[in-house]
Amino acid sequence: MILKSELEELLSNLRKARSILVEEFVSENPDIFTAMFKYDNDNVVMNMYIDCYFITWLNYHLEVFSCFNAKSVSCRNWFLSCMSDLISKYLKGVNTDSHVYKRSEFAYTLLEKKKAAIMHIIKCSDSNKLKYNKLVYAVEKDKKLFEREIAKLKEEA
Amino acid sequence: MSINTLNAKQDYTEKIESEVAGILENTTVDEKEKAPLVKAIAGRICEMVSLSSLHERLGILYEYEKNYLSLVKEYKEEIKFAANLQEDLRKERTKFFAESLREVSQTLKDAQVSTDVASTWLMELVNSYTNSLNLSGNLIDEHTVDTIGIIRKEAKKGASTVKGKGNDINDIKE
Repeated sequence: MILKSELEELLSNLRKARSILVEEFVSENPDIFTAMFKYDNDNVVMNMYIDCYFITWLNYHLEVFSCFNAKSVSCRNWFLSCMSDLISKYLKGVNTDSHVYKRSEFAYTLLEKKKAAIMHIIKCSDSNKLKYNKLVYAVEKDKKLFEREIAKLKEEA
Repeated sequence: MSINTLNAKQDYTEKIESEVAGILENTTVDEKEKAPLVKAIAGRICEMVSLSSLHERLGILYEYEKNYLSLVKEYKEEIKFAANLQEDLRKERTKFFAESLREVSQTLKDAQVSTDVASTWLMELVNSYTNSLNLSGNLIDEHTVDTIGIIRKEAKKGASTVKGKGNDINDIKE
């Protein structure tokens, strides 16, 4: 069982991440709105921007979970399980009655890898600090990979 | 009182009556007076036994409930904590669908984003937001279940102490 303070911190991180989502839309974040106008006739590139934005949002959770090493093992594992659950939900995609949003293969691969890395850290809790840092550094790597993929798509178009 | 309990009480009374009749069998008590005397003595014995048993049972129930109440008092803050977290999450979910989503939708409309594009982004926003809300809900539920588990464990400990006095609380509760 994790401590009350740890649970509060986890919940507060999740809440903060949710509020950022809303704020960025309401404040017309240029990253989102530029893509909305620039690629409104190109679904493939547009969807890649959507995947990039929401995967960056997922990554944000990893960045804000500060002082990873100072937390109890159960707290770390709780947080990592949370991340794994969130990623699993993303892998399922969005499918409503009126709309089916298909995530790009590129995003699927990236999310699968991220989930596998998280599961590995949960299993081998001894050496997880180093592996967690690798996960955080992958945040920058993901952005770069998305930029390259989007550039490739634009060239192909 | 259930039929089973009534039957058991009747059997018990008959047994006492038969015992008393046995004792009075070789006495000089007049045969005509024997039957009402047996009934009166047996009735009085049953009454006394049942009063003492009731008193004992009430004592056990009291101990049991006292134990529960002290546990609730001891874990009051924990219970309040879990309830507050659930309440906050419920409020946030309501606010998102009642206010925030409307605000985002209006921003997209004011910015003249095409309907299709806006709907795709909005769908992913709702999906991400609700996934995160559900995840928070699961964390709170898990913590609540853990807390209930601890309280139950403590309650069981208390119940076994009461049980140790020679009675089973479950028999009384039935």
